[in-house]
Amino acid sequence: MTCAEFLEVAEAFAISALDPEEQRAAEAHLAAASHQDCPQALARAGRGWEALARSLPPIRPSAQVWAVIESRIGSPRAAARRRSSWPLGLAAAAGLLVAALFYTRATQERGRAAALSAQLEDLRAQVSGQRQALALLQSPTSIAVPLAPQSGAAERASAILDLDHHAALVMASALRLQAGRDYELWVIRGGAKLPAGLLRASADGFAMVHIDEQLLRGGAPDALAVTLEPNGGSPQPTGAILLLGKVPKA
Amino acid sequence: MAYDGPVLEILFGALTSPDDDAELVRRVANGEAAALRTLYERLSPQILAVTLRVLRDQREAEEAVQDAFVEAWKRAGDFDRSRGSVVGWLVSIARSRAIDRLRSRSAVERLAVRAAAEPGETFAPPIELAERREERTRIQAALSQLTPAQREAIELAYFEGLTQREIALRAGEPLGTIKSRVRTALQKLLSLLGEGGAP
Repeated sequence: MTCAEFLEVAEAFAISALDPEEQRAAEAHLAAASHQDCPQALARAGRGWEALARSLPPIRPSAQVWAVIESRIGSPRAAARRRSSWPLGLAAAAGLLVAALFYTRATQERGRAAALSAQLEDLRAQVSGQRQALALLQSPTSIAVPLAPQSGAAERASAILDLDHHAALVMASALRLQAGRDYELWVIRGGAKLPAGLLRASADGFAMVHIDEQLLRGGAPDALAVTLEPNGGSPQPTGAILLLGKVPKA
Repeated sequence: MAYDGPVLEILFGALTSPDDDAELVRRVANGEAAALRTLYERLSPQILAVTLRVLRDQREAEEAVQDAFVEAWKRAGDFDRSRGSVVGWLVSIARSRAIDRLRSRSAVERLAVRAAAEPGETFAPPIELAERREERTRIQAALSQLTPAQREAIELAYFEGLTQREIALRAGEPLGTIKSRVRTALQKLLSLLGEGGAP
């Protein structure tokens, strides 16, 4: 790349908006020893993009954002807060006493906190799943496909597909946790059975999986199916079909 | 400049100069966490505004801000003042982290986020000093003088992380047209802001 060519792409290069090959060529050019005006052009472009950032009203982050940064960088201030400022001997004695008195309580509290934290994450995942399902349902081009239980299977599932946006998710319930086995979703198209993800159930038997958009780019699948497979899933189904839903053709 | 705690920085930090910011980055490179805190108090609201505009999700946007400041802590020694301002450097790191997150979203997640945060929604109460508000008004006035197509092209590139080729595909226009549009738009914006470049 020449300086003249770099000057043509400096604006896009500054925010990595070039194709990867062109981006690499521009990077290599910038590393050269002499230039017409390339570093200056890049700095000027940077100021232009920065203006776009400055056009937005600033928003104060919530209080815990800095606390997380501080803990991630291992700040001495964070460490100091964890340390006692008492004289060493007194601090050690007090620490031992506190430890002796409250060891059991602290262990219980930690366990409770961990359980609550896991529950919170579970709830967040469920809320996020419901939000995503709602968004899909609201899309005017989405369709719902129930997956019918086969041979008396107890499991239940439904899919929501928006083929125009290559978006789809499957929600399942009444799944049973089984050691060494996983529920696996299949996209069936033209006789091919394509693995589309594992349905890993929460404690209450609920699971949700997104279908990769690449699997939807070939048009509407013929059907979706769920089987029970060895832990981690299989490249091709080995178990009987538990749930099956035919996707209506547009 | 001595570190006097976050409250003073909140009150006065935004009025300090780019020279102070660069000095703070030098101190961050020397391992001074207090200097990073000062930079955070001063610049994080502007950085969160960008990550939120990219991700449209408060929690993820704040995580991208965290990633950016942790990265700044590790890479402060790489900051080159001749290549731009500290705020530009930090915004650039944060925007990259936000776009990484945006690209890792599934199609369903993208739809859900779009549905949850329609344009115009207020995410959180904005805070701003009068001086910054004036600057923002001036930039918005300059942006309003771009054509809608020019503005859309630079916003897709900057806030959605699309390459020029992806913008061309989305708009159904030749790549050359988009390249020229992005370049002209940015130069016009700079010119309107008195920074030189083609009008």
